[in-house]
Amino acid sequence: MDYTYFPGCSVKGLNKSYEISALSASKVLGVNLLELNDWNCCGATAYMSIYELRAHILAARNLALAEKYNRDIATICPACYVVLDKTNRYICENKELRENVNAALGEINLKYYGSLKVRHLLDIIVNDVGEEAVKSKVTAPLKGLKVAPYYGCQTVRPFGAFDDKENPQTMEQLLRWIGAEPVKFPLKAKCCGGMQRVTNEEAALKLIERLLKAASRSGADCIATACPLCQMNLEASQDRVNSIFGTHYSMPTLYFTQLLGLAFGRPIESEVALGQELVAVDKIIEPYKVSVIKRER
Amino acid sequence: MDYTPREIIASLRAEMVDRVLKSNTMWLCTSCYLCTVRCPAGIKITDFMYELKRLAIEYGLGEHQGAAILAKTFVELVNKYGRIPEMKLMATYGMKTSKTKPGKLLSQAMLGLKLFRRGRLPLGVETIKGVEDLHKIDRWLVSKKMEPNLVERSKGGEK
Repeated sequence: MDYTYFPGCSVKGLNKSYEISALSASKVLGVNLLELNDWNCCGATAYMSIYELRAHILAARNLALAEKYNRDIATICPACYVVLDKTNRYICENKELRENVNAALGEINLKYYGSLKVRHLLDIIVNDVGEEAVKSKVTAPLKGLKVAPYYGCQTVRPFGAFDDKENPQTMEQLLRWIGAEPVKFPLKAKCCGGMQRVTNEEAALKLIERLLKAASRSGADCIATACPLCQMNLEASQDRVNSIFGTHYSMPTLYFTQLLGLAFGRPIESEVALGQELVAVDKIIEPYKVSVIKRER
Repeated sequence: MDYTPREIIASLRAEMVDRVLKSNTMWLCTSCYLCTVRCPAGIKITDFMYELKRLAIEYGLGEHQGAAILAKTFVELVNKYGRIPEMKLMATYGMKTSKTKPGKLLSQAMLGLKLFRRGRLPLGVETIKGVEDLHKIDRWLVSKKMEPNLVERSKGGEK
């Protein structure tokens, strides 16, 4: 299964572990992620706050570059996912926007015809790969590992292309396939504060504390995320949250692709990309690591 | 939050545009899209908040908002490199706001240090080959008056 892979800036920067583990898990599952050559920043939430048309053009350059391959675009970052998907949909719905974007792209000899579908890797693994194929690759089932499935906002909103917009189930499904136990986590699609952690920390920490509290109370051993910004906010803010709210959170926060890698028995450092956490994960991965070593012997 | 989204809509209906554009309400919007999917009338409230942000910038009324400063810095860096060097974004934002929020720079630096210790800090800045193409489009948009160049203009202190 071939896809045009759009990585996004974040997974090439502070959140490399997401890309490394995503590429590894995809390879195991026969999902061929072919990186788009010379892609540019999708614009995230910031560009659209200053410019509307330019933001759409920025996203559309990537779509136009990808269109010649005629494959679905695979993203792992929900911000990239939603920005590319939104421009894709708005261009198709709105003739004036389409003409303006294509007039601008024409200046660099590009044109976007609107033929592509923008997907998130979670959608691809659950709906294209499917239960049987995923289960067949599990060599170290994550038995007994309680996971709070955290989608964040933009994996499912605003379009809800592959799951419910407020109560998604896809990640729970996938976690069960690899032997883990998803806990009940009602805040699973609520906001982590996004970039407000930088621009209005007080507001963001309230949201982050709420998520950590809900995850702890649900009895989760760790949180699984599908978003680099959520991962960073939830993991890197725990010290700040603890000092401000007088709490004692120490909640490992991993990418869902890292849990896949663990269950597939991939090498811990080079492919599951563990070892760069700010909150230690050793305790929770220990039982599964052992089975990895056994298998390799 | 200065005004709730309902108050924002009511104020606009009462033509109190100034009050709306000076507020911090839209700058607190994280684009979680929860309002958009819940609105029974199908109003795309998140897109509406984006519009308010752009208007505030255009009228020079959002300059002091942290999220506006971050967004402008973001645009400048994308225009320069074609991608976002995250550390540079954080450092530039920290410098720009160091006078009003001196503690911020320090707490960002502390986090940077922690990430560095874990081997997570990316080094170097990558520029895409197509960055000249992006500039070409920019110049064309300005020449066609399709969209004003707000980031440049605010730098030049026209407002």
